[in-house]
Amino acid sequence: MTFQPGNEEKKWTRIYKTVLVFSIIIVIFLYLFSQTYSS
Amino acid sequence: MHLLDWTIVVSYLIYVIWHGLKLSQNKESAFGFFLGGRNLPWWTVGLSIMATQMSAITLIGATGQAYEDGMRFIQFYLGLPIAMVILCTTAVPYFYKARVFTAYEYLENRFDAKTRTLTSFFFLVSRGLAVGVIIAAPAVILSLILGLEEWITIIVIGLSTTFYTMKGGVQAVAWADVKQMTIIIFGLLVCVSITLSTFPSEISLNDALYIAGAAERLQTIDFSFDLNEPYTFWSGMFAALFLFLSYFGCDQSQVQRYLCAKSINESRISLLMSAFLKIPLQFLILFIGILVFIFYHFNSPPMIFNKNVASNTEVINPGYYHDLEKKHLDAYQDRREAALNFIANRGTSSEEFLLSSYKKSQLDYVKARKEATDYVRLINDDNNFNDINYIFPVFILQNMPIGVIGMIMAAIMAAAMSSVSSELNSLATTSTMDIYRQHINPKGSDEDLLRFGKIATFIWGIFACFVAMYVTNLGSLIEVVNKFGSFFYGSLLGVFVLAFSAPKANANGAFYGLIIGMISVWIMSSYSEIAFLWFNVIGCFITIGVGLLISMTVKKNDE
Repeated sequence: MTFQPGNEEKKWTRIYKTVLVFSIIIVIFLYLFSQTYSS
Repeated sequence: MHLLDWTIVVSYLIYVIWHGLKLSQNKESAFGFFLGGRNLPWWTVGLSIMATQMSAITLIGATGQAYEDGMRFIQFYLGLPIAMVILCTTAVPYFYKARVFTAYEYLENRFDAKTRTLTSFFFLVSRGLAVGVIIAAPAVILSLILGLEEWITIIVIGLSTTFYTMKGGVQAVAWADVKQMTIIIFGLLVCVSITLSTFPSEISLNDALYIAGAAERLQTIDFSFDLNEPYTFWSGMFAALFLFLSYFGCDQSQVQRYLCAKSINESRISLLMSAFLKIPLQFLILFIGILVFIFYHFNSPPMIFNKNVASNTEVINPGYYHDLEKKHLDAYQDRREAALNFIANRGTSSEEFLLSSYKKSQLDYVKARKEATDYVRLINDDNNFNDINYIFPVFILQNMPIGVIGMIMAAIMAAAMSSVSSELNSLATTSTMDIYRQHINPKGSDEDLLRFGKIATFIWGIFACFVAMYVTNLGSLIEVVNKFGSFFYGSLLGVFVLAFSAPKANANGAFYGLIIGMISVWIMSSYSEIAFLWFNVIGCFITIGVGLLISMTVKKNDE
């Protein structure tokens, strides 16, 4: 089954959003990591 | 090194060359040699992209930097996932649909031949010199660690890589990159587990992290805004974003990787693979530096990690040098004691007091090492001396078991070779497609292009080895090469932004915009203290601004 152009576009938009959410999670993780062990 | 370690290193070299040659297919045409017949799976391209980016100096330099300065360098990569998303929606489809061999070829389709020639010329000059530095940096360190002459390590890394790149083209490069990335990641994981096992029984990983935190080695995010500070959240998210857009979107050494994928979507996925994996991988590398830092809390560290420089300094005034060593050893023992006391009393009423004692002992240790480093600088008349790049290899050689040493040395070589092969491959492609086919032999057959591509790979390989031998004696040239790259990158990105998103931009605008952008960055770098990452932003915006202005002026004159 092939994707219609509209579906294909939506699929990639979802993938890009996932990447951006991932990068936000990374920043939060790094911040919490440094806060946990800072004294 | 033990015979077993040497056997592992030599076996690795033979295996990589043999496998690179064996798996090279579709190489009997220019399309096969330069683009692998556009037949590579996304994960191969993705690993090749990551391997190209991670040179040996990234591997050993980053661990040393984490040891000395902490994990703040991780912020440099924060903009990378965003850059990849932007490139997936812009550069990838533009290049892929244009059916080009090089990124600069696209500029001729969009603007004119002179813009293509100028950008490819700057790429050849900057990358041609940079690949020499990429070989030289680990070759110097490995020669010292392995007790070999520098020219031997340069020849081993440079010529063996040239050989399989010349024979097998981009396919050999990509498949060798996959193996090399596997060796690197496996080597790093083994290194983490063995280092953890060497900690004293009363120190858990959690305790180790508390010590590193108290020594301010775990500060990964710095929200302060300072243009002169190289690694902050803002420089990573914004300035480095421009660097990554330029590196992955306009530098042929990376563009050529994803042009080899089977389809546009596979090209995109290969870039997104880097977006997901690069930061965790870099975190792992920096984390090893932190583990080495903790390891040397409980095992006496060398005062100077570069043993050649250390012994040269010692013979000048042995008495004073031994005084420095005594001071350094005392500082180490005080710090060790303070760290053990702090951990043993965590959660008790004396924690605060013991924490400040530890912090003081850490500062005293840093002061003792700085005093020794300053003395080395003075005696050797070298203000730029530092031994950061020697910390990781010396740690491995002195503390890892037999077999693991060979594996990690092979991983360092793999990191160097994976970058060098992609650079040579892209230099050969640009020389062939943007110079030879464009200016020397426009009617050349496919066979001519293929033959020239192989010869160009060989010549660039030899040139890189010569540059590597030369730069080992000229530290300042390395700086010149790196600076030249930062002048070029932002402005190059500006030209591609004009090409992709400014329909009104014309050839003269792009051409002169690039030149003025580069000159502006050069002037700014000479008269300001702005951190180099921001030059990418400045160069990009000046090129876009000047390019649009010239384009509109010329248009007005035409009218």
